[in-house]
Amino acid sequence: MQQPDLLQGTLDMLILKVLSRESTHGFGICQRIQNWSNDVLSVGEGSLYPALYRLQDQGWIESEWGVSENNRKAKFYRLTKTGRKQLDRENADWEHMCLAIRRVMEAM
Amino acid sequence: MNLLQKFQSRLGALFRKRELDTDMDDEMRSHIEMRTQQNIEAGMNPEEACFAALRQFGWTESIKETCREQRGVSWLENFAQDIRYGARQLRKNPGFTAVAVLTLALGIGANTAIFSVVNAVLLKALSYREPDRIVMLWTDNPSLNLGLHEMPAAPPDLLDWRSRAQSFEQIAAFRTRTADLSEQGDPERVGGVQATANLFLLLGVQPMLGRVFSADEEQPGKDKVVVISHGLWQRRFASDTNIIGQAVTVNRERYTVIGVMHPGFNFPRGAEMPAGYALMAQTDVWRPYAEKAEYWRDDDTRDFIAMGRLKPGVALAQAQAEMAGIAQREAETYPKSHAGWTIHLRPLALQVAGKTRPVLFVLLGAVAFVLLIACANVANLLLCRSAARRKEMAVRAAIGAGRSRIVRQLLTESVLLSTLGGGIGLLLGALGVQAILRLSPPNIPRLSETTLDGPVFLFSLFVSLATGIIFGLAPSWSASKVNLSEALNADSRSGTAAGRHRTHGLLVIAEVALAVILLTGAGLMFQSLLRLQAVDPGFKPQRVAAFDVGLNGVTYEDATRQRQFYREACKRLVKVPGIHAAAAISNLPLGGVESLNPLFIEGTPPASAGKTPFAENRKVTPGYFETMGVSPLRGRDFADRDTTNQPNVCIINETIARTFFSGADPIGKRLKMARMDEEQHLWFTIIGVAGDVRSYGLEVKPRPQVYTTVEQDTDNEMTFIVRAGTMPVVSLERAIRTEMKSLDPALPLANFRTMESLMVNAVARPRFSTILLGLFAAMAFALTVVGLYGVVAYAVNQRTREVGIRMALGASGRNVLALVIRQGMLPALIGLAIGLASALALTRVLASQLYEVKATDPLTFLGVVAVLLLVALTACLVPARRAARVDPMAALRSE
Repeated sequence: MQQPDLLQGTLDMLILKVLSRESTHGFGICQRIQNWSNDVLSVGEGSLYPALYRLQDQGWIESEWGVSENNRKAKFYRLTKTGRKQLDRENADWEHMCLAIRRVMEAM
Repeated sequence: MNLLQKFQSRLGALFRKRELDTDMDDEMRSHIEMRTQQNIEAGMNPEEACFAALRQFGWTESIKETCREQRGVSWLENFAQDIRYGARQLRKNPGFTAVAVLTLALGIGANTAIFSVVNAVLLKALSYREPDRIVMLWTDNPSLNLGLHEMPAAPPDLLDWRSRAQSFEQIAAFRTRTADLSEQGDPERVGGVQATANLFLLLGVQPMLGRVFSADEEQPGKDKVVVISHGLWQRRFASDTNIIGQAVTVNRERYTVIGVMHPGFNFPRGAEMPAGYALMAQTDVWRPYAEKAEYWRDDDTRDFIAMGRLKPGVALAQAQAEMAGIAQREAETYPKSHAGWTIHLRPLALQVAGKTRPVLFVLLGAVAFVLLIACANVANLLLCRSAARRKEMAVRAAIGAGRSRIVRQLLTESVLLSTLGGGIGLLLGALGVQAILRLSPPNIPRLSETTLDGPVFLFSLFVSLATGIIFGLAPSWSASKVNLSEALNADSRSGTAAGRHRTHGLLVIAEVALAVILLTGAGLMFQSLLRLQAVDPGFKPQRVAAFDVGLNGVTYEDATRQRQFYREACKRLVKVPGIHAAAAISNLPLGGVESLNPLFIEGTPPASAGKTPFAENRKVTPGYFETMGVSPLRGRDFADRDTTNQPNVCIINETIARTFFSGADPIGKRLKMARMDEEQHLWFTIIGVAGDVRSYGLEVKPRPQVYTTVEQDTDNEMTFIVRAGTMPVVSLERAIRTEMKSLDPALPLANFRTMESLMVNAVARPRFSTILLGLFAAMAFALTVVGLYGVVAYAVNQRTREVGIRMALGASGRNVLALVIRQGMLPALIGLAIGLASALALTRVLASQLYEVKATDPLTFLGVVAVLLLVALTACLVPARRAARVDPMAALRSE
């Protein structure tokens, strides 16, 4: 893993989040996470693809071959209905967790 | 995705593997192309851009492998691959495979066979209703020193127990009364009992046809009814469904058949009850136990076997305590008949398993040891092989196999190996069961029910898989710890090699220790068997045959008719060509019938209550001692002139002469076989002393024996014996039957057997267990030697280079020889020491099986040490000599 500080569960959530905005291919997911995080987070392919296959196996995302912006054949991933629910759930958990951490940090 | 979809997707993935892999390749290529494009846009030249993209992507093969795992099918796919690869590996090393599979097959086969027997004899539930609530109610009087602990109860006991004991739902009684059937074909004797009406209720069995006895059929006069077994009904009554209500002749009396039992019900079977009750192999005829009220009230002859069904929720100990209290009360109330007598309960299941229980547990332990040794051996083999495959494993790890993947691969191989071994083992087990059935003594209960059925199959499956996993894990774990660079670096044998040697050493120690235990056990059993076979029974069994007759009914009601029959029969038998001598006896030695009577010798003070000595009483015809070959010591034999109008005479055995007359001449003295105050019993004058006969078993010391003559003291159940001159006595059977038939055509001759066969049967059980234990010990020993040899040979092979260096530096062949032998013998010696110590502790369980051999017999232990040292030394010597002949130059150049 190239980004050991990117927690495993968090990567899943980020992928789901990206796909909730629009369907895209693996490379697109990398790009968006990097851009949206102002280059703070970068997802290695070694983590991305296993995660994609895992999420697909869970039935949270679906894939389909299509054509990319610059006319390249690419596999596009799309969020499913159960995936959207999963994202909501993970988002809620995440909020909960952040809140908890913030409370601890601000308690001093 | 629900479970079904998931399953479909996984299954689909398995079959569309190539398609999915291509798909994955395409996707990753597309990703790399996009990244390259981006890099070019950022200003790199195309080559550089592509390279950077590739580098950033990382190692595609590894990612792909991880992705495949996420696809959720890889384990199945890998499993199939592992099996294919494992099978190829096994085929590539046929020698290794054959030894490993055969070793396992032996271990598993032996276990399967013995477990099959244990399952049939000990574990399978008896086919009665709630059998664990059924108990035998035996009596015992330890102060009499009879060597018998399962004694019958007296008639008043039944009434007493039924009215007092709160622990039982039912208490039933039965006694042996064989049945001579003289209609519907040839006269025949079958096993039979007289039983109280509630016996069937107690056992919880129903008749297949008709009904069983009712309580009022226990009244004399109303008791001429009979229940027969399914087997007898089929065989003798041609499965006649109209049999109920028909008349049959049993012991020359008319009975009405009222019931036919279900197939398989033959309670009690001879092998399932203690010897001495004259029960035949199985019971086919049940008649009511009909006696007058006086019998139940007053008769204190211990006459019947009692059994009870515990009330639900009553524990055995609780019932035992209650019966102990009752025995105590009886002893106080009727000191004459009950002082010193105790009651002990024995669950029916334990009773049925009887003396085979300890034997089978010993054998079960022995085969478990054999299996452990087999496992250790195969583990050793695998360990050696995994060492040889260290490079292969390192290469696998280097090209991306994770540790778990390697462990899985090795585990698959060993499970494959053990499955093969298990399969062949199951086959061997089936053959083994057949061999055991053929080899087994006739008196092991329920052995014929032995089959390779569900539980046995599961057991073997479990054993072989557990074996595979246990011995597969150890080597694969150490193999997976391979340090890449070290292993790939050809010459690094130092670090883990020491650890491996230690493991080898431990395995050898364990094997040797287990083999020593088994060898010692087998040695002790063998010595005991030899001594038992050398026991002088007190008679000469060669060329003597025996058969039983029962003189029943009106024809023989008069004792003079019985006497006449015995005289006439003996006279006619001697005239049969080939027969030398003929006689009859009431209880044949080793025949399983015992009749014990209180003994009182005139002029000796009466024994205190409960201490009355008992003697075996045998009624014989004149000429018995000569026919049987019992040595006459003093005095004279019975003669024709000893008739009822002459003084009663008897012949005593040496034990009585020695114990009760202490040197004085017993001839002319008188004895009584009853308590002294019972005047109606007659005095018998001692006219002779005969040699001791082991009548109850070869291992049982002779008891006091009193012989009387049928001319004065007759019995309607007798066993004839004939001694042939020179020809084998079995060849005379037809002539004997013809002769007896001409005397009384309706009289069945039962149990025609030779005395030699009885001698063989008397040692059948110990011989059976000795042969099996010996076989297992031999297997264990052979496996251990193979294991020891393998380890030493392997070590020599691994250290060729080291040996070469040593020799190049001036070590002589002898030094090398000593080095190798020392290394091989050290674990063997440790194992020997541990084995001897464990054997000292463990052979104690054999003590009850041993005859005149102590469980700590020093000779056996020394023998085991000598044999083991010799063979272990040889096993080390062969590879050691090879090491000593190593050419240093060749060895150094070899790598």
